[in-house]
Formats: sequence, structure tokens, C-alpha cells
Amino acid sequence: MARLLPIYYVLAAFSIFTVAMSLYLNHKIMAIYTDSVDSNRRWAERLTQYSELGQLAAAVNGPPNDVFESHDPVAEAGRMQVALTRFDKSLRGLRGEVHAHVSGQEAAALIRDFEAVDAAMIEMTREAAQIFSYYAQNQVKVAGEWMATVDHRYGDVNKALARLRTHVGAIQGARFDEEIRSAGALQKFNYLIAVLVVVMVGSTTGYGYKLATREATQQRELQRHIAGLRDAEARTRSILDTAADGIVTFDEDGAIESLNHAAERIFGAPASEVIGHNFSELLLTERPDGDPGPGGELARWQPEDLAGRRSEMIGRRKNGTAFPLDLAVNEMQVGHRKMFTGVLRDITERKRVEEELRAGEERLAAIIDTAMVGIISLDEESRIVLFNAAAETIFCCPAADAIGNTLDRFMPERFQEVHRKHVQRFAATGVTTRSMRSPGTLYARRANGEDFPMEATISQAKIGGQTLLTVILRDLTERKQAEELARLYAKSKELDQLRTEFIYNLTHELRTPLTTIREGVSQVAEGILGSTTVDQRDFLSIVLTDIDRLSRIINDLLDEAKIEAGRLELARQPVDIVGIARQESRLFGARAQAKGLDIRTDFSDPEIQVYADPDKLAQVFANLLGNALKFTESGEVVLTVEDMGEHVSCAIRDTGRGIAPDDLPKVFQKFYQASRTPVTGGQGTGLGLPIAKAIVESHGGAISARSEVGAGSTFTFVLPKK
Amino acid sequence: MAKNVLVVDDEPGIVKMVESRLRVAGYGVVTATGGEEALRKCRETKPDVAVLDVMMPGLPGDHVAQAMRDDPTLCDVPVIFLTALVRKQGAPLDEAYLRGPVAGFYYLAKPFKGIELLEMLGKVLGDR
Repeated sequence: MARLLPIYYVLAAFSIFTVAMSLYLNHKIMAIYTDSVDSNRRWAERLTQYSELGQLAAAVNGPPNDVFESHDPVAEAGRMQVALTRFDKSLRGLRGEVHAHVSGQEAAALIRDFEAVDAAMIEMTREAAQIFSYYAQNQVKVAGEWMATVDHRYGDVNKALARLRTHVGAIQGARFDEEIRSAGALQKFNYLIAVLVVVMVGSTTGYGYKLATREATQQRELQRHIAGLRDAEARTRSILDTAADGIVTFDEDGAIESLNHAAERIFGAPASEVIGHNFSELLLTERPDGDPGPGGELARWQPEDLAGRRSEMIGRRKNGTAFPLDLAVNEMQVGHRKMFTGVLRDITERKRVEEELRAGEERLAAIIDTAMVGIISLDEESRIVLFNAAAETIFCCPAADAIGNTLDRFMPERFQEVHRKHVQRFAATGVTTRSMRSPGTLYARRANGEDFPMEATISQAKIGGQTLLTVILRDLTERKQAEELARLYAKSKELDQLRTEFIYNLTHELRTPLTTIREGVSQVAEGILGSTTVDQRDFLSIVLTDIDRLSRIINDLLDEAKIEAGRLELARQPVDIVGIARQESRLFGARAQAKGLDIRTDFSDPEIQVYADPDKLAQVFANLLGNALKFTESGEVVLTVEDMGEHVSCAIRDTGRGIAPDDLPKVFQKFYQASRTPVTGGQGTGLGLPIAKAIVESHGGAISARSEVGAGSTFTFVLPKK
Repeated sequence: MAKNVLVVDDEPGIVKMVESRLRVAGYGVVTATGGEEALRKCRETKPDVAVLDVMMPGLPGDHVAQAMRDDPTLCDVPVIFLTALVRKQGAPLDEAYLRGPVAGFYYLAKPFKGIELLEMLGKVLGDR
């Protein structure tokens, strides 16, 4: 365009010049034309005046002719004089005008013509005067003859006048030719101008065409450019729309201008509902300054706050739900406008995965830290990188002290070299896990220098290009101790078994002679083998009582042995527990009476059915009643049985010395008799209460003891009815 | 006619005491101190009831009882076992096995009183 500009200026100047020239030429031609018309008019006037001069001449010629009719030569001579005066005056005027206005040869010619006219006029008037004179002399005939001369002279005048007019015509013609010539000359200029105009029009047209072509090209270029831009935009839009990330553009005030499909999806709102709104409405994260906006709303983010940064924020969907999003905002200059592009991603899933990973790591860390085994990880330089809580406990060394060190400080010197080789060999094999073996037990060293037995497993894992060796170890100190304990326990079990068998055999061995003794004494006492004295019978009765006692002790021992061996067997059947209680209280009645004690019974029902072993139940009552009587000096023993619905509760209360609180928990222990010296009779086996407890518990019941020193004790047992 | 009772125990004292008690009570008594002897005497005398100690050297009481059950001439002789609840070293008899008349056997636990044996004999013979 700029290249065409000088051409445009040249063309413009040329146009102005052409037009100016054209105007000037026009002016010139018009001037010539005006002059020509003026001159023509003047010459035409002259011709008219010169014609009038002819008439004036005719008027001069009239009287000489008229005299022949009027016969008044004087009058006619006078009229002729008047006419002649007028003629002369006019001739003088015309001559003066020519003098004044006509120049050069034309004037001279005309003046000569005027003089010729004047001369002819003079001749004619002279002849006319002759006529008049002749006429006055009455020489009419002569006068008449003279008339021909006058007419001849008038003819001369007319000839001169005609010559004058001819001259005027000639001048007029000459002038016209001259003007035509001038105009013709100018006309040539006109042709030039026409050529110039043609050139100008041609140039302008050419220039215009050039411009138009160029414009069209540019237009096409522009169209193509626009089409290209449209394509590019469509492409960009489709790229934006297929992008997984949400892309939002907004202006300086934060008003949203566009958003892609992904952004629509993320915010759950169609673009139409979002465009024009402030992008801040899509965010729930408060501004860091927390400055509440007008009306106490959440402070609005300004585009400048976000420009050039990437942050994790809380987004708000259309339905109001919050979600974590990753937002990166860039500023860009579009024309004179500032624009902002936000690329955002819904990171709910990522957060969840991160959370899971974190939880997993925490879980793993927790597992590692709560593991009972020591876990130690080593890097490739054999430096400790992980030392869990159990390892801390095992080695008496805080993790902070251990991490970064080698394992050497935790190993007795004699193992260090072996260990190093072991680790090297292991790393070379590529095996992932194996247990450490050594000819003897492995030993490790605690921070306090104490060596302890351990077992360990070593594993290797490649993590991030680094080989991590992990040693899982167990302190065997306690296990060794436990093994020792277990050995002792087994030994004691064995001894226990031997003891139990011994008691079994012993009871058998005791019972057989006891049977003989009892039967022998009984038969003697009964008098079967002959009569006896009262004293003898009294003695034998005492012997029988002690045999019974011995028998009970043996039975207790056997029961205890069975309980100990887990061989207490029940023959459960429906049985009336009140009946058993009543019978046992009766059996002990004599013993109570002998001590001056009273046994009272209190049964809630006359009969209560339970599913139990009757002999074992009787044994429980017997043991408890026997105990109560043994430790009571005065007062009473009360036996109660109460139906509790699902259960039955039995209690044996005495008014004995009671049991010290410290001793109370121990009364159900075997052989326990401390500070419970019986009032009368010998020591018991100390097995009565434990046996009672075992029987009650084997029936699914429970037994307990309450006591107050000096006031008495109560033993209560509760049994399920079924 | 007096009922005959076979009394078997490896302890002569027991045998003597039981014999004394039974005779006073009017029973006829045959005694033995071992399993083989008991079986022989049983076949000879065809007792009305046999009182057998379980634990005996040689043929134990329960084996004697089994042999009697296998012998058609002796299979309906009631048997009362005397036992201290121990059948053999470390292996006590099932307590239920030792209680009532299971499969025609009766049990009497040592140490027993003479009167208890008499009661049981009366019951066993009365049942028949």
C-alpha cells in the first residue's frame, strides 16, 4: 500500500493540474468567444449604422428628385441641407467611433472609405445644388438633364457606402477567422488536456484497479487468515474440550468467559450457567487473609491472587458439594486486555489414593512399630535406616541413636566378620529372604553390652534402585527362659502325674487294710466273735470313729487327686437338693449336739429339683457343714437352701471365729489351713473347701465365702437347676 | 437252704473278715485268693453269688467275671465287685461303671462296712 502512495500523490497532482489547465483553457475560449460576440455585435451595429448612413444619403438624394414634383427648389434645397447635415453628423460620429475603437489598417481602410463616401456626397450635393439653381432659374429642362448627373453621383455615394460595408464585412470575416484561429490553437490545448484527462483517467483507473486487486488479495488473505483462525479456534476448542483437565478463562474482574467440557463436568454445571459469573463462586477455599467480603461472604479471590501459582483448593460444584481441586492460573495479555486461564483438575481420586497410601504407610509404620519382632533395615552401605520400636526395646537403644550407624555396635566382635561376609554373599545371590543360620545360636549385643541369643531372618528388596536389606530378629532370651520354664513345667507335670498315681495306689493300698481293720473291729464290737465288756466296746467305738476319719481323709485325697488329674466325673441326674441338705444336716446333728451347737435349716421349698450328682452334692454339704462345726465354739450353724428360679442358692452360716480378710481369698486353695486351727479334733486335710469348689464349679455353679472376724463365716454356693 | 457266696480277694484278711461276717449272717461261704482259683471253685461249687476283688495278681476279678459270663453254667451267677476304684496302675475305672448294676454287675467300693455287703447281697439275691 505504501508503495502505491507516491503514485497516488502524483496522480492527484496530475489530476489537479489537468483540471486547472482545462479550466484555464475554458476560460480562455470563453474570453475569445465573448470578445468575438462583442466584436461581432459592434461590427453588426456598425453595419446597421452604415446602412442607416445609406438611408441618410437617400434622404439627401430625395430633395433634388422631389423638386421636380414640388417645384420648390428653395424648400427642397433646405430639406437637402438638413438631410446633408444629418448625414455629415452621422458620418462624423461614425468616423470618430472608428478612430476611437478601430485601429490599424482596418481603421485606415475604413477612414479611406469614409472619405470616399464623403467625397462622393460632396460631388452629389454639388450637382444637386446645380439642379436647384437650374430649377430656380426655371431651367427645368437643364435641371432635368442634370438629374442624371445627380443620380450618377448618388450612385457613387452608394458605391462608396457599399465599399464601406464590404470592408466591414471583410474586417468582420478577418476577425472571425482570427478568432477561429485562436480558438483553434486553444482547441489544440484542449486536445492535449483531453489526452491528459484520458491519461489521468487511465492512470486513476489503473491505480484503482491495482488498489482493488490488492484489496481483493488482501481480502482473500484476510478470509483465509480468518478461516485459519477459525480452524485453529475450533481445533483449540476441540483440544480444550477433549482435555481431561478443566480449563476456565476469566477476565481481570474474575468474570468467567469460557470453560471447557471437562470444567463443566467437574463443576457439574453447563457453561451457559457459569459464564459471566465470578470464578470465585466456584471456590470454597477462603483467601489466605480471610478477609470477609462485603456482606460477610467468603472473601473473593481476585485473579491477581492466583495468577502464576498452582495450588490445591476446595472447589464447589453446582449442587453445593465440595471437592479438592488442583488449580493453576496463568495471566496472559490478549490485545490490550489482561486475561487469566485456569487449568484445574478434580483431585478427589488422587486425594483418596494419597489418603490410602498415607493410611497404608501409617498402617505399615504402625505394624512395624507394634511388631513384636525387631525390624532393622540397612541401606547399601550397611547403614541403619529403619529401627522399629521392638528393636529399640531389644537393643535398649533409641532409634535416633541407631539410625545412620552400622550393625557392628549391635554385634559381638566374633560375629562381625561372619556377618559382613554373610550379608555380601546374600546380596550376591539375589535371594529375597532367608533365615540366618550359624553353627551355634546367634548372639546380638544390647547397647548396655549384654549379649543375648536371637534368631533372625534377612530379606532384600530393591526399592527405587537401592537394595534395602531388612533384618527381622527375635530376642530369644525370653524364649530360652520360657523353654526352660516349659521344661520345668513338663517335669513338674510329670512329677504331678507320678504324685497322682502314687496317691491312687496309696489310697488303694490304704483302703484294703483299712477294710480289714474296720471289719475286724466292727465284728468284735458287734459281739459276733464273742461277748465284750463295756470298756472294750467303748474303746472299739473310738477306734471305729478314727477309722472313719482316716477313711474320709483317704477319700479326700483321692478326690483331690482326681480333680487334679481332671478326672472328676459326675453322674448327674434329677435330684432333690433339699432332701440331700436335710439328710446331711441330720448326719451332722450328733456331732453338733456333742459340741453343744445347734444346726438350723431354712428351706424356701420342701423340695427343689436340680440336675446334679447326688453323692457329690452331699459331699459339698458335708464338707461345708463339717468345716462350720469344726471352727464354731458356740452359737449355731444355719443351713439355707433357696429357690432362685433358674438357680438354687445354698448357704452355710456359722457363728464361729471368722476368717481374717487376708486369708479369705485363700480358703479355697488346697492344703490351706493357716491360722485356722480347729477348735476340737485334729487337723483336716485342707482339701474340703477346694473339693467343694471343684464340685460346685464342675456343675456350672459358683462358691464364695464371706466372713467377719469374731462374728462368723458364711459359705454360699449357687447351682444352676439344669 | 443257705445261699452260697464265693468270696475272692488276694488279701487273706479281707477274705477272712468277709467270710466271718457272711457266716454269722447265715450264708455258706467258699473263698479264693486268686482269679484262677476263683474260677475253678466257681465251676465246682456253682455259688449263688460271687464277690470278686477286681485287682488281683494273676487273673483280675473282671476277667474272672467275663469268664463266668462266657461259661453257660455260670453265666447267670450275679457278681459283686469289690474295688478301691483302681483297676490297674494309673487307670481308674469309670466311676459310672463302678456304681449301680451295669450289665448284671454290682460294685462295692473299698473300704466297705460288713453291713453294706450284707445289704447288697440281700438286694442281689432278692432281685432274683
